[in-house]
Amino acid sequence: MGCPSCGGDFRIKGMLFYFSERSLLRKINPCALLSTLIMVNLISFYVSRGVVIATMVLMIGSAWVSKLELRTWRLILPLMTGFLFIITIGYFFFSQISSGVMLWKYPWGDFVTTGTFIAMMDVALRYLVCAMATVLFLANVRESELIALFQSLRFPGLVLWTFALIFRSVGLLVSDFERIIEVLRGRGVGFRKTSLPEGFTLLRNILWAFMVSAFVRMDGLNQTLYLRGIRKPITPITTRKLSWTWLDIGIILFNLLIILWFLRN
Amino acid sequence: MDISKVVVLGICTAVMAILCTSAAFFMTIIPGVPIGFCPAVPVMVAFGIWFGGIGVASAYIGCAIGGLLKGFPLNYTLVVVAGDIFMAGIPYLAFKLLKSDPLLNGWKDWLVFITFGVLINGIIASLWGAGTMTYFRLWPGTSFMVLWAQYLIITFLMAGAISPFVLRYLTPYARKSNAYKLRAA
Amino acid sequence: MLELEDCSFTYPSMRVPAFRLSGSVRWKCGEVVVVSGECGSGKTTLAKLISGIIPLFEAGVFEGDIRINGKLINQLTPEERIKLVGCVLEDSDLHIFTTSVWDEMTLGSLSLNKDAEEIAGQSERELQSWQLLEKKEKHPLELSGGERQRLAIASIMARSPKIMVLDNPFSQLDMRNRQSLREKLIKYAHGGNNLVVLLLPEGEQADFADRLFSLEGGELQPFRPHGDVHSETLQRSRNKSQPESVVLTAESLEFVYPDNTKALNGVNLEIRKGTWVTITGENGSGKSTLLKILAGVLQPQKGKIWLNGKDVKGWLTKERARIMQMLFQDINPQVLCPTIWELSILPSKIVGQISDKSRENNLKKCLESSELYNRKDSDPFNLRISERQLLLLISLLFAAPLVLLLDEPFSRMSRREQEIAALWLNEFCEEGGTILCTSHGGLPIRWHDIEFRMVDGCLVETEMTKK
Repeated sequence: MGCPSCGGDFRIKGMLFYFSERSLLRKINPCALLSTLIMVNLISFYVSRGVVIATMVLMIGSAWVSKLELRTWRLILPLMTGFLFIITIGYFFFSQISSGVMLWKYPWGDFVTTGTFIAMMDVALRYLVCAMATVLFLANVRESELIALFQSLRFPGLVLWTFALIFRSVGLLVSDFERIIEVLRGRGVGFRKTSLPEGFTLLRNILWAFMVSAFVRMDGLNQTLYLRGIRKPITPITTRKLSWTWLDIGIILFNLLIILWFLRN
Repeated sequence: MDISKVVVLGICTAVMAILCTSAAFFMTIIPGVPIGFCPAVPVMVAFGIWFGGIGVASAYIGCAIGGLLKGFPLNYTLVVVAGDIFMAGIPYLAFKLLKSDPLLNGWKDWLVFITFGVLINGIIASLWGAGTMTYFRLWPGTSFMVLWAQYLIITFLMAGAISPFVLRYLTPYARKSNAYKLRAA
Repeated sequence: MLELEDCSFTYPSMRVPAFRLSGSVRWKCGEVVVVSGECGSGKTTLAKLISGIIPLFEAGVFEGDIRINGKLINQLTPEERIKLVGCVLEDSDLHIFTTSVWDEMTLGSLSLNKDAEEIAGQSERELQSWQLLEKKEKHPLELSGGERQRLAIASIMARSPKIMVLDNPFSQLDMRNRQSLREKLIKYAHGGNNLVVLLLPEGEQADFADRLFSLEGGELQPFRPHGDVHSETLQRSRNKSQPESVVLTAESLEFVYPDNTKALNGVNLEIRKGTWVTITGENGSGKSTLLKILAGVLQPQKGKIWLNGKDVKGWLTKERARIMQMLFQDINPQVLCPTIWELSILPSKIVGQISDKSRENNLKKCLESSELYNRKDSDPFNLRISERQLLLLISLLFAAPLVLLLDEPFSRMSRREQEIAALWLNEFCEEGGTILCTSHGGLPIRWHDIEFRMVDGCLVETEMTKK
């Protein structure tokens, strides 16, 4: 099977998303991307609103150069929507922001002011910046590259194998989860059209099948590692080697400086 | 360390991370799923009971990864999710010391489960969660008591309503798996 | 090289041994040994015994002696043993560890402490010879069933074990790849002076073997032919009278996967009521994708589908599933309930099919004929994979759809189970049901009316269809 229409731009499946090999961020070393993720994640709740907005714009620009597809956003949209929904409910019903004009008060003591809306938007924006940084990272780094990075940084075997197993299991179990959803669709489950009792039966079925698949995978992985002669977490795990450029080192140093500045303050 | 233990830790952690993030997914695809629904809570109780220390470690690491995937700041996540160590660890110790059956066959098993697998662990984990969130001002302004009450209700509901189902239906799988035998090792 | 003497193994839940041998057998290096037997005859147990999975991961009572290179197996450490024995179990899907074909291929060799560059060079050559090099950066779960099976075998063979045990390695392979694997195994045994033990279902071609054995009810014995019924293809004798109305039409279906692989390239299809259509084709040719699109699991980028003359666009999932149900190739994700009974009624429950006495009796009869009814309250995962496949088929038939989409429905079944399933499906067609079934070739039961071949995402008429 070929792909005459895609001009050779085959997409690769990462831990959660598909991504293009033509993404500019793919040219950066995973270590540099990881340090950027940690930096953004640490500072986003401390810097001023202007810096957060600037970071957001930078993220959108990075998403564009990463050639992130619409379907990737469609995948994470439910997650983000769900989370923003929780923030909204939390701020509307269970907060006490005293700035601004008082609008109404609840019997349990919490109240809503005009400041509540501003605070809500502010927190939502900061969460979104963190979430986008994670998405961008996951949409540009494969878990095998992360493992290669940890191996090249000489992480102890136990830590290396633990991370490898976590990353790989996330990918495998997400695929299992997707296949369960596929089967349910094939059987006639229209997720958004279910009634409340149907919804709960469905949740039970999904949770049960997912947990069983995890147990089946657990035994499968134990056996497969044995069959490949791996009995202890000490053998090397990959043959992949990462390339480093001066740009990567520059990015890492810049991020390290910011993280150090953040920790000092 | 035997690689089998690392496999159990890896899979359990991945399950926790996926379940942590899937709550929002479930809420948007299935109508009627309540806010605060978190399938990770009942499963972490079961993991603690089944796999002991490995189950407890997976609850902590898995929820930390899940938090990062949801966009929580790294430093807060590492502290806030430490409550899950109590959530999974207390029932593990109780079931081990009181020699209770995870299949919940007798009234004694139920008593141990409700006391240590729902109430005590729920109270301590929610105290930790609400306390650290208030301390770090992650939910600005709201009173600690209101936050704790919400935390407690969600934890009780999740552990009380779903954990027995997880334990009764899935313990045979856990026992069949090589991982369960490693608990004693 | 490998000696088995007066040995038996009994699982804790069973009273009779799952595998036993009275007397002794000695299999030497440079031989291809084929052990054939029905599903449940003890083939997988034998593979696990030789490889050491039993007793390392599965408990039970073992008696007797197994020697490798003259040494009793309990005198070998698991590390020593697994250096000598390579084993590929039937459910290769479960034995994927990594998330790229390349990492999967190199993982086994890394534990042999070889140089990384040497491993890389060897893996590249191996992937080339297994026709997987182009897909080396793909996720193994993105491969077709046959490609996954080839990868599982290749990654173990790369460790160059002296004894290679393969449990039903042809189950997912198309005809071309079957032949290629046979040649590879013969070369591996004869050329490399290694022992290859193949555990095959009865009826599978085994004339290339140096020595033949059979397993019957767990007992290993020299091969005894069972007459020539298995070498023939069973034919259905069904009288087709008038051509019926068209029930399913697909027009210009095109589908590209997220990794930009074009799976369907303008598929046109028209199926009449009461017919049994089979689509054959090589692994990865797009058969499963077509079925998933027809079932509404995947959305095509181009093309239209009509069911009973109506465009399905905008239909509710439930409406579509009332008319059309699909049996997926992967068995485990379809096991969505903790008991056999619950699982057998699940599809009909989802589509809201009203259950009456006569239909329930039919379900009971089906479960009884496949020896599942007396275990209806037990866990589906306690069943063999082929029994699970049968159970899923029963559950779909109970939902009474008009069209059944079956992705490789017979691939895991024994000869007897295939015949039972084919009888039910024939009855389903007689009553006006329509079947669209895929097969990578080598179907022992040819009861279909029409056959298409899928080549590079396009459907091509075969000689049988032209007739």
